[in-house]
Amino acid sequence: MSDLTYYNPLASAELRKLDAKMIADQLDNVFRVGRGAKYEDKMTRTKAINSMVKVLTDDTKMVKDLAKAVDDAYRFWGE
Amino acid sequence: MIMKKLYLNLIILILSLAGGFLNAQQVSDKQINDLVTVLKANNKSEEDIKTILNGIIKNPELYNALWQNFIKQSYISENNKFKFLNDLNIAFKTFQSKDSATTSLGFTYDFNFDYAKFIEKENHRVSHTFGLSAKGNVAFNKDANPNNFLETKVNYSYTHFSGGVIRQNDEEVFTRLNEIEDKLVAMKDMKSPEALKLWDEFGNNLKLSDQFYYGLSPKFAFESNQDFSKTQFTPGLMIDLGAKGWDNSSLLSKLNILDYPFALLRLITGADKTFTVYGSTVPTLQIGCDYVIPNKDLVRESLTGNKDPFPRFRIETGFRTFISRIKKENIFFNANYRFYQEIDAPASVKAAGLSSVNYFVMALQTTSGFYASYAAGRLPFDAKNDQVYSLGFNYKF
Repeated sequence: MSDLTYYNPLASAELRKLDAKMIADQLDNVFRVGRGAKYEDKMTRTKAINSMVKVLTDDTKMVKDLAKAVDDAYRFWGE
Repeated sequence: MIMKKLYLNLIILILSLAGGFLNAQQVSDKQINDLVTVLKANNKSEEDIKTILNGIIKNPELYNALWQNFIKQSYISENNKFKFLNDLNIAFKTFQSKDSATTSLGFTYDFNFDYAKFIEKENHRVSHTFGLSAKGNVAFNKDANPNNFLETKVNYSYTHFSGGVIRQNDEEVFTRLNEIEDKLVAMKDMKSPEALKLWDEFGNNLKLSDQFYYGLSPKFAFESNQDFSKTQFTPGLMIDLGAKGWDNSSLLSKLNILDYPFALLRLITGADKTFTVYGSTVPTLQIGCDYVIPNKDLVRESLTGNKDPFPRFRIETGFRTFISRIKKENIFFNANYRFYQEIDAPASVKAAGLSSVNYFVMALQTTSGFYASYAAGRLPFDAKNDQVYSLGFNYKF
C-alpha cells in the first residue's frame, strides 16, 4: 500500500486513516452504485469498509490483499 | 562511509537470506561467531571487526527487520492478543540534530485503533468512530531527540461523506462494464488504440464526481516529552476536512494548486502526456482547538508564575503526489505540516518564543526504498527549532 499515491508515510496514522476511509467509501460507491455489486451474505457496509480500511492503512499489504478483502465483502454483477 | 554502510547492509541481507535474521533470538552467539570467523578469514583486523559489529547493533534497519518479523509472526499465530499490533506502526531510526554531533538509536511510534460504524443515508454517508491513538519519537539518548513530543488521546468522531459517483447505473450498463473489463484483461498493451477506446467507453459509463467529507471529533489527550518531565492534558475539538477530485477535469482538481509544480514535472518527464493536476491529492486537513491544562512544565511556570490552563489552536495537514516514473521506479513527493498557536498568550510566553510552534517535514521517496528528507521547526515540548536532513534507503524485507 505504501507505493500507492494516497499513502503518505510522513502523515500521522490518524491522517492516513482519514484518507483510507475516503478511499474505502469511494470504492464502496463505485462497486455498488456504479458496478451493481451487492454485499455478500452477512456482510454489512460497516464490515466491508472496515476490512478495506484495515488493508489500506497497512504499508505491508499488497493490492492483492485489498482485492481479497473486496472479494470477501462484495458479490459483483454477473458473479 | 558509504562503503561501510553498504558493507553492513550486505551482511544484514546475507544473514536474512540465510534465514538466520528473522527474530531476536536467532541473532545468536553462533551467528555472530560465524560472522567474526568470516571476517577474520578475510583478514579483517580486530578493530575493523569491532567497528562492523558495532555498526550492525546501531543500525536501525536491524530493529525494523526484527519488528516486521514480530508483526508477521503475530499474523501467522492468529493469536487475538496481538491483533492490536496491526494498528501500531513502529520505525526504528537514527536521531541526530543539526547542531549536535550526538547520534542515538531510537524509534518513532504511531498507534491508531478505532471502532467505526458506517451508515448510508439517502444522499450521503456518515460514520461514528470511537478511537484511541498515540504517536511520538523516542531516542535512547534523549539529548539527540530533535522531535521530543508524545501525544496519546481518546476521541469520538462523527464523519459525513458525500459525492463520489454521479449516478446510479442500470443493469445494461453493469453488463457492458463487465464486458469491457473482460476485453481489457485479455489485452497486452493497455495503451493501444483499441484499449484506449475501451477505457474511454468505461469512463463514460462510470462517471465519478468530487467526494467530500468533514468530521467533528471531541477528544481528550495527554501530551508529554519523552522523559515525562513536561506533561499536560489537552481536551479539545478537532475538525477533519477532506476532498478528492476523482475527475481530473473538475474544478476541485484545478484548485489543487499544490500539485501544479508536480503536474509540470510529470509533463516534462513524460509521465503524463498533458498537464494534468491530480484532484485525488488534495491535502487532508485537521483543525482544532485545545484547552491545555499544564501538569508538569517548569519552563512555563517560571515564565508565567502559575500553571493556569490556556486555549490553543492547532492545524495538521498532509500532502503526497506522484512526480515521475524512471524505468520501473515511481517517485513520490510527501509532506506534513503541524502548527500550534497559544491564543492570547502572556507577554512572557511570547517573548520566550513559546506561544507559537510549527513543524514541517518533506521527503522524496521511490518505490524501491530510496528517500531524501528534510524537517524543520519544532513541536510544543521541543527545546529549540531544529533542522534535520536525512538520506537513505529502506529495505523491504
